[in-house]
Amino acid sequence: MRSEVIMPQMGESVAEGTVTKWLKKLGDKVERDEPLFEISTDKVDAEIPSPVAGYLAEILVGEGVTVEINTKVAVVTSEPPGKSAAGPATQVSGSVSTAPAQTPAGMVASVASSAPAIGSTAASLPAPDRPRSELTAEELRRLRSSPLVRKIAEAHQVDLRQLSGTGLSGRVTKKDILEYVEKREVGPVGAESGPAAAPVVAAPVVAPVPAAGAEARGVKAAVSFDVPPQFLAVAGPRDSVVPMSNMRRKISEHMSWSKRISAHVNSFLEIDMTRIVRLREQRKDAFLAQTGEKLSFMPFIMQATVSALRAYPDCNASVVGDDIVYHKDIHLGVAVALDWGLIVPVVKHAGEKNLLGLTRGLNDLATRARNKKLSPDEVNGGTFTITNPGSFGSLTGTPIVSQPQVAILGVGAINKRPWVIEGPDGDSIAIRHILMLSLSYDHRLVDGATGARFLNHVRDFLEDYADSNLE
Amino acid sequence: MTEAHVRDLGLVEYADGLLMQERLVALRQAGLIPDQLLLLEHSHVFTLGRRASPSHVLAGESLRRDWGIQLHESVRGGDVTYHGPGQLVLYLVLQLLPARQDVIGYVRDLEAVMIDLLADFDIRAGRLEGLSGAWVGSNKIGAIGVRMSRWVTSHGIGLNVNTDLRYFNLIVPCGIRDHGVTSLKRELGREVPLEEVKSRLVAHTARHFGLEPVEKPIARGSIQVIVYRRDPALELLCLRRVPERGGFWQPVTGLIEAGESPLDAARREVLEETGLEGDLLDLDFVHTFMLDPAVFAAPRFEVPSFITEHSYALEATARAEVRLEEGAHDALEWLPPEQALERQKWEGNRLGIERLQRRLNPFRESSP
Repeated sequence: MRSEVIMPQMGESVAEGTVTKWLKKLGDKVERDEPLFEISTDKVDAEIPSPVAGYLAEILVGEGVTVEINTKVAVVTSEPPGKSAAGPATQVSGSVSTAPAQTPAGMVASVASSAPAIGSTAASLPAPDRPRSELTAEELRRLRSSPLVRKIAEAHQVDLRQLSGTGLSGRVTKKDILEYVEKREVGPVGAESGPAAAPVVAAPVVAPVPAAGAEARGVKAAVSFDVPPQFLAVAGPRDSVVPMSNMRRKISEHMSWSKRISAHVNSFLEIDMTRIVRLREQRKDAFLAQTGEKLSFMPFIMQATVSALRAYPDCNASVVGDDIVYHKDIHLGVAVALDWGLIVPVVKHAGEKNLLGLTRGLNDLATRARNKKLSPDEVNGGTFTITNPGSFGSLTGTPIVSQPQVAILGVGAINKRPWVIEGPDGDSIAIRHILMLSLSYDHRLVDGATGARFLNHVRDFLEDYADSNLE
Repeated sequence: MTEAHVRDLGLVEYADGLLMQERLVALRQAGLIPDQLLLLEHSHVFTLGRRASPSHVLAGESLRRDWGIQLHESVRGGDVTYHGPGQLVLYLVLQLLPARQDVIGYVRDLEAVMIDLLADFDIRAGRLEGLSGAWVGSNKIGAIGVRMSRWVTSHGIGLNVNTDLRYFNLIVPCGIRDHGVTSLKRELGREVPLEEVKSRLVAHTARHFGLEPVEKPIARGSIQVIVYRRDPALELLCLRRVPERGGFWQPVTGLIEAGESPLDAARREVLEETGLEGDLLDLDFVHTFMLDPAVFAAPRFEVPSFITEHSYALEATARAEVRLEEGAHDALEWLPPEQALERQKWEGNRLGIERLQRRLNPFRESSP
């Protein structure tokens, strides 16, 4: 006795359903009304019971497949499969899908592939001008790339068909497209970062002006404004000409553009870091033992910076034409010097991290920066930057604002100095740990008063550091 | 009009929520209980429907762990969503009569309940074409996820009252990237006491589904006390129940007797089960779960029975001698936290231990 199990109609206007899970395997016994499989419509998952008792002999529709209502999904027989005249149990694989949506398995397949450089002997994609109906199944599979890859392609205006992929059947993987984009040197695209681009935030970070120029000119000259020839060097016979590395080219372009875009002003302030120095001395061993993280001075400065940015939101903003874009979240870039250049990884949502969170975030990014293991997401989307000329012993520096931000904090070296302490009975001299802070900022938006007050706020936070900030 | 039991459960851990609904659906299918309306809140958790794409959870494991956000698979329809304190969850276990056996119709009814409720607060909410839930403009204020089992419903709605919406930044809610989320607090510019919303939610639900609500207060309270010592490494006391009482490992636990406060009960149980005394630390973790009707059955226990458990901790001196209670436990071990966690049978005990760990560690990370 064969009984057909069909996709039920779960409502008057419901036309189809998706099988999400088979609760029984082929050959399993099932009672009448016992849950046999699960289906899903938009927001409702339903358990569907078996109409009869018997054995699950055939599964006709696999998990993840959507079919019209009343479609046969399974067969339940009164005899165990193998004994009936119809032959052994059969199962059709779930690959014939009418659902346009991606399945989790599909996404994983295209992202997980390992990839050598693009441009190798991977099969090229079918010519874009042939109608889809003429493409073979193989070619169709290759054209399909994951939604994530398509999204990245869209954001960077890349025609996926121009790329060879190193993924399954020549698919373009996430690594492929990111490498392609890197090589093409499109400027930082602010909107592409992950959690920072969430819908709750008011406005996405706007891409800076140089990006348009960079795209237009292709891969050639390093700096996109023309240097008048009388200011250009001419290579002589004893000179060597070395093309810039990608990183160097990007830095060169960014720095020169930034000076042209922003009206740079600097404010300086000395602060007494003695309290922080002592606190760190007391706590650093316990901190390392409890958390596995080394506690440096930077997380304290980051905390102070976050507090100051909250008080002076002009410093956590961007200028676009005549508009000011205020960023609700604080993403702190911290410059890391590398043997081969400089990179600025971003600690995202720094405003919502405590001391341990900032330390972990910073240490992790710095380590991975040195091992070249940062992803583009992690060097984009910053709203403020901190740089550390003091790590080389410099008293201070005059850093260049990182576009499209409007301010950057330069942290000098901490030096022991004789310092005047004002007491109730008069002044005395003590040896204190003194740090020079320098804030470079864009006077289009940030005025001198704001810049100075920002630094004052940082100083007050650090000099009167509350122990509760350690939590 | 059919009778519906309304249960205000407070904090319910997600796993306990799944379990209780499974049991209630079975009881409802068997006709042993009437329709149920459960009002509750969950601890921070991202839940995934069967068809949810894992890429819609943007926060990685270490981030979730640091911020105390659980990740759970669920059996309700829909993609990924977030539940947490401040979000009022209503689970409906209803036997749908033939006239109402329509999944789309049911979802529309749940939307109507939320829209009418929000109107009471002067918030104009509506539907969005092609998307479920209650929307204010293009921001979702209430989400829907439903499960049907032979036309008995479970799961239901999650309404953002005072929810910390920043948690939604870590997921792509319901797989929808282009819209945002909002809450009553955000729309009104003030916190709204959950009690105000609960009674109205029950009233609108009753009206839409033709139910007569009967309040069922929680039957019993219980306590757990996690006894620990620092030797100097942290060790937790684990007690093994005698075989007749289950044979599983647990901290000190017990029911609250009539006339006792939770703290009184905690002190009494610790003394009875270990012989120890001392100042108890309130772990600030009170949650409700349902007793397994197979184990705790009628007539001794009302079916279904819900228990609200209060959690405490007690520091024992390194040399303290533990005296077991005969007939209750037959073995004890002092274990480091990871092993103690593995030994626990119940989620509530595990979560209590995790809470204690976080309290004791001064360098714990904070929430987003």
